[in-house]
Amino acid sequence: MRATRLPALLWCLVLLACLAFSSAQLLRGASLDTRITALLPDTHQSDEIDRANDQLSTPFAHRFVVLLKADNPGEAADALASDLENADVVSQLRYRPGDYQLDDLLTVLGPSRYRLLDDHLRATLDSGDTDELQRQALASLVMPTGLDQHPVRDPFGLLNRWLDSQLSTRFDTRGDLVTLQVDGQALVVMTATLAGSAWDTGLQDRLTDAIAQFEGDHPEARLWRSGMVFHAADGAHQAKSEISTIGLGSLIGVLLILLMVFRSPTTIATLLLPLITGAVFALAVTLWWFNGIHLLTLAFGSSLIGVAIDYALHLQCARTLAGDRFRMRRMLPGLALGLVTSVMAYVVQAFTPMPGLRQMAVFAGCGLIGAWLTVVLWLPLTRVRTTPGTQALAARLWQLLARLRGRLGPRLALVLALVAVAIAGGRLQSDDSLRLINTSSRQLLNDEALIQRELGRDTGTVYLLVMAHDSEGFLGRVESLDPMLDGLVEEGHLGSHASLADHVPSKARQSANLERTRNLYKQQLDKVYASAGLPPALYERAMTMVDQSPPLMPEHWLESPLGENDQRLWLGRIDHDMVAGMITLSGVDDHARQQLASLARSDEHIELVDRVEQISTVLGKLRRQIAQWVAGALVLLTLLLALRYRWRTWRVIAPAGGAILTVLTLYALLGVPLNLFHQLALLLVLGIGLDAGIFMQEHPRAHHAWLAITLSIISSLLAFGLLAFSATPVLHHIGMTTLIGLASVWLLTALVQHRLPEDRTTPDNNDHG
Amino acid sequence: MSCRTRLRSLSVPAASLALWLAALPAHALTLEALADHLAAQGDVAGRFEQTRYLADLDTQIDGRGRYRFEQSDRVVWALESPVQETMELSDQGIQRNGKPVEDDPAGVATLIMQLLNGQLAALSDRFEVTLEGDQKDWHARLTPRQQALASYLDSIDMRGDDRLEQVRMAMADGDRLDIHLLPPDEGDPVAHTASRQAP
Repeated sequence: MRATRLPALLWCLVLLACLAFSSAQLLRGASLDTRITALLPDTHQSDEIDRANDQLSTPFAHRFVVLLKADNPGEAADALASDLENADVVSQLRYRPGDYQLDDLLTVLGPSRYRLLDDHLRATLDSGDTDELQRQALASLVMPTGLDQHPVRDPFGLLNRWLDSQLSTRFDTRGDLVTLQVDGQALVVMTATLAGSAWDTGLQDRLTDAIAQFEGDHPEARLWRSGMVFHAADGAHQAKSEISTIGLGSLIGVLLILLMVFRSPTTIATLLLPLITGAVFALAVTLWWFNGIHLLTLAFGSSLIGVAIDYALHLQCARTLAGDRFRMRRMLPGLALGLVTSVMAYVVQAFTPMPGLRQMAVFAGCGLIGAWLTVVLWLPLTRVRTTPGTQALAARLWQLLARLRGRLGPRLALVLALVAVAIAGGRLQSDDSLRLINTSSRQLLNDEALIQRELGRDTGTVYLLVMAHDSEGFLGRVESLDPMLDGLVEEGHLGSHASLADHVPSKARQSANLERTRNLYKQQLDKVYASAGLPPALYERAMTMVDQSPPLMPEHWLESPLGENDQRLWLGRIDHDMVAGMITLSGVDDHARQQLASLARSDEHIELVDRVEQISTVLGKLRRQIAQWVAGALVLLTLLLALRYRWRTWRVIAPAGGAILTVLTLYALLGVPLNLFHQLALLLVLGIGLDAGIFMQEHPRAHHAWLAITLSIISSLLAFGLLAFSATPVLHHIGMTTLIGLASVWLLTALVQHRLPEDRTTPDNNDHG
Repeated sequence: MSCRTRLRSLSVPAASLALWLAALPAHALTLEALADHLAAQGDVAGRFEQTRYLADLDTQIDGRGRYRFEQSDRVVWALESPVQETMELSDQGIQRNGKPVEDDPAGVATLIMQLLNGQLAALSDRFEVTLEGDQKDWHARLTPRQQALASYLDSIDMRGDDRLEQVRMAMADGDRLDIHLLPPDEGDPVAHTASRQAP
């Protein structure tokens, strides 16, 4: 006994250390990660694209926008603002016109206004028909309807025309609030800068609470929300609450069943102990290895419960039924093979280049090893009670098995497998869209779509990266692309495009514009002065202003408060002789995509970047890699198992392999496209299926093996079948697959066992008899 | 969005100030009595004269034309000299010389209509309004509440009796805009008749 106690004690010390380490890590603020990107591999892109991606998405991650409708908008907006400020989640909040600090529009753009002409005005000037401009100039000199319309400084209202060409006319700033008309309703526009990271769960909670408090106080008010922080909060919240409700529900269900079977709280405690120790061990190793843990790792990790409880179930079922006749060494080969096969199935994922999968693999592998060690080292030290009830139940299950066994012979199984492979191979579709990992609620997605549409807030997911030797070259290049892009917009292939060149014309264009302005002055200014009764001497003064006009420089614009929003569109210097900037695109259809892609192919200084497509590509690659690795592992396992089981090997593989084929064939027939998360769930099916196959071969005549397999599958079905009802797509996919897969495992395990003569079965452990 | 809003907060008032003034007489001030008093005059039409004084050039630009307020419906402000230009406001929006103004800051027309319909909240939202005198001789001073507007518009003074007679806008840089709305019977019999026909 002493020999077995020392390793048990050591294992206890290891677990205590793990517990201390994890607690320290979690207390220090290692938080739950919900970022999709954390799961993705480094895509080996150029640094420019990485920087461009960061820069374009920064405003979306660091700010949020709320639209508010209320009976008394002023009071409601103030209340919301104070709720947000009290929650300490925002560093800046703007919803009143005065919140937009008035900057020196005249100082930044005023001196260069003679060089800033919009397309329409340029066309008018080039046509030579400027009489209408003269008339308008005169009218606005008498009754100024714009900014700084002064006979000397700006008789033709150039500054005002430039501003009008640049601005959205959607915002209404006349009242105390900044509002926007949406479907005939005036909504208050509130923009905020976060006081911390959008991924900080503490901040997410405070923000969610503040908004909930506001909604509680103002039941009549309606909010629309846009910003990464809401999506992050929504995803974390929903997944957390579902995992905890579903997890709790299934735990209670599993406990009830186990209580019914074993009728001993102590035995049930010994069954759950490996799960807890496995989780403690896996969490500590994962936190130590990755400095944090991803939400999906937890969601996926909880799927291990099914496999981890297998070992404990097999051991305790055997001990309960056998009583004093139990011998540990008879159990060890089955337990060891079960562990090796499951760990192999999970750990192959660590060889894929996906950081997310590596984390899951580490978590899964450690969880299984932890649970297994507890089962082997600790459980034999506990006492189990043999109850007649358990034996009766085992006997009844055995009768059920007797009716099912032998119905599926090797030939029929092979034929069915070939048919399944043909159907799945021919018809199975796949889905790698980003939608899969979207954990936001439909409500939030609708809010987001509305705000992006109404405010023209793009998330910077599709853009052209344009490189040039200097900023002048960049602006000129973008200006040369504009007619093509405008053409796509007019034909309805493109929603909109935006770049720094929209607000800062190239020097060449500015010089040409200045010349146009000079000509306009020469043609019309005398007449304007004469008609207005102003002294002709003003002409020289006006012309001097034009002559002394400095060009608007990109740096100057970007540094001004007006241009700060354009900073995201400009990368600046990317190496010693190159600068780069972005043209963001929205509403890109296939036609536009093709045209832009061919443009990018023909010009080495232009790249078309589509981040959504990139992520989909990565998901697809990941899915195929898992499939290949697991298929490879399965072949290897079959060879390994064949060493021990010879011709019986097909019976070991059939439950797992058959269940996977059943799921795939069903999905192919139902038209459900296979995605990454289906495949992750199939790993669970594989793990439990292999355990079942192995234990039935190790103990072909033992009631305890079939009892343990049945209990294991029922508990996993309870845990994961319930996930099929989750609204989080990821969890739903995992649940659905598990439900079908595990039911198939159970049935197939029974069907493929060879028939036994009635009298040769035993209710206890003498299974090799 | 912030940049645009900021710019708009300047250009909307700039583009619409003159138009607000044109719209004021129907229901001028926050004081309900005055609003009712002016409203009782019905539709009003007549001539106007205006002077823009430019402080830095120490010179002025004169203009004149005709106005017509059709209560709760339409405002027409027709400059005749030194150049012809008609601004028209209705619930259809703003028209300049019969054409819709393309760069119309959406909502200016709405604001005008609110004023005409006596929704004074919109005006007092933006301006501090102080009122002196009585119905036969009143003076209202409007000072912008928003720093954005105040940085270039100092104040607006309005005077009148049964109707609005004079508007003076004082800009922050010393420029001024004076508008006199002449009585309907002075030199415009058509307008006079129109105003008398109103209910």
